Amino acid sequence: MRFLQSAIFYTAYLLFSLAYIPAAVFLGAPVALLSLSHRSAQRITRWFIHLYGAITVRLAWPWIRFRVVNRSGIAPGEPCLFISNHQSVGDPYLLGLFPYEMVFFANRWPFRIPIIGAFAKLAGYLDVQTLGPQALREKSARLLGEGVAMFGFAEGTRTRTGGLGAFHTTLFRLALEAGVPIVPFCIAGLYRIIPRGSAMLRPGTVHIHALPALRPSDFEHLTAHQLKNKVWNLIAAELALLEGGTPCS
Amino acid sequence: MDKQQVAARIATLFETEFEIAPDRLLPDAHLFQDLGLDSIDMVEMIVVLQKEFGIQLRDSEEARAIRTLGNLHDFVFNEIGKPAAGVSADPRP
Repeated sequence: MRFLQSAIFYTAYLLFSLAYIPAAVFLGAPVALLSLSHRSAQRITRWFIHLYGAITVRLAWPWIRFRVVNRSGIAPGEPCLFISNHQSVGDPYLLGLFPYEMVFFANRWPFRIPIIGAFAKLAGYLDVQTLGPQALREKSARLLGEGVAMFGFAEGTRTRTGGLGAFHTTLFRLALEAGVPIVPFCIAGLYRIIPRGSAMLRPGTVHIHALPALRPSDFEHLTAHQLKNKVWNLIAAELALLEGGTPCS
Repeated sequence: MDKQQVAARIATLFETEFEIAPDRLLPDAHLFQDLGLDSIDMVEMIVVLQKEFGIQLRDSEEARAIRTLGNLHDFVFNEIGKPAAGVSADPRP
């Protein structure tokens, strides 16, 4: 049964991608090229990525269901930093369920994937492994100044155990320097549906909770490490509530 | 100073500088993956270790091989044990 479900999903995903990606290139490229500004071109690219994610997650219905709760209090167009746990390769698609123009902090490898890497570059995603701290700071500040929401997986990589791993400090330094709200973002259930190292899908429910945003006045007195621990504790508590598990570190 | 004392002082530094809970400071904890340090943290770590132990840490094969907290304990312990820690034995200016 699981094999059949997986086969149906991946076939639908493949067919959809084969139709959508060329359409995005042929429709999006002229619009982006004709648009008046680099900003508009990036916005169009992000819109195509957002729609791709929104449709992809719905292809998994009814075996995989999504419960979205947005308690962030962040309005579309408000600059902020979403900080999430990372459960599965499917996590980035989930952002299609939220109404924000998002830019990802990513590792080097997504930029090397043909077509997807090109879209990531066009959308202005930031490669945290290649950019130095200064360039990362400057590019983030510019994007936030444009009213973009930025999104990063604070563990830096997918969980190996299903639990919440250690957070890296980089994103918290950026939030303190930029003085923008932080939205703790919790993904629960997807690790069991697509565990690391497996392509086979299991039926289940994914909970995606954007927790109430921490405003700069809530954390400006903290060090980056204290802020990191605060956000880690918020996500860990939500994860434990949703999965009934215990954090791993 | 024995290796246990070095480890205890490093643990205190990690607690105060990086806000890492003592129960996570295990010798096999990976500095990046398990303790969440990043490149800027590593620079901070070098500065505080130099200050704490009065040693001069330089780029070397041994330093580049550090992956875990246990590796760091060994490295600092060896550096302390050197006659003039981190200073070249070569007398030339």
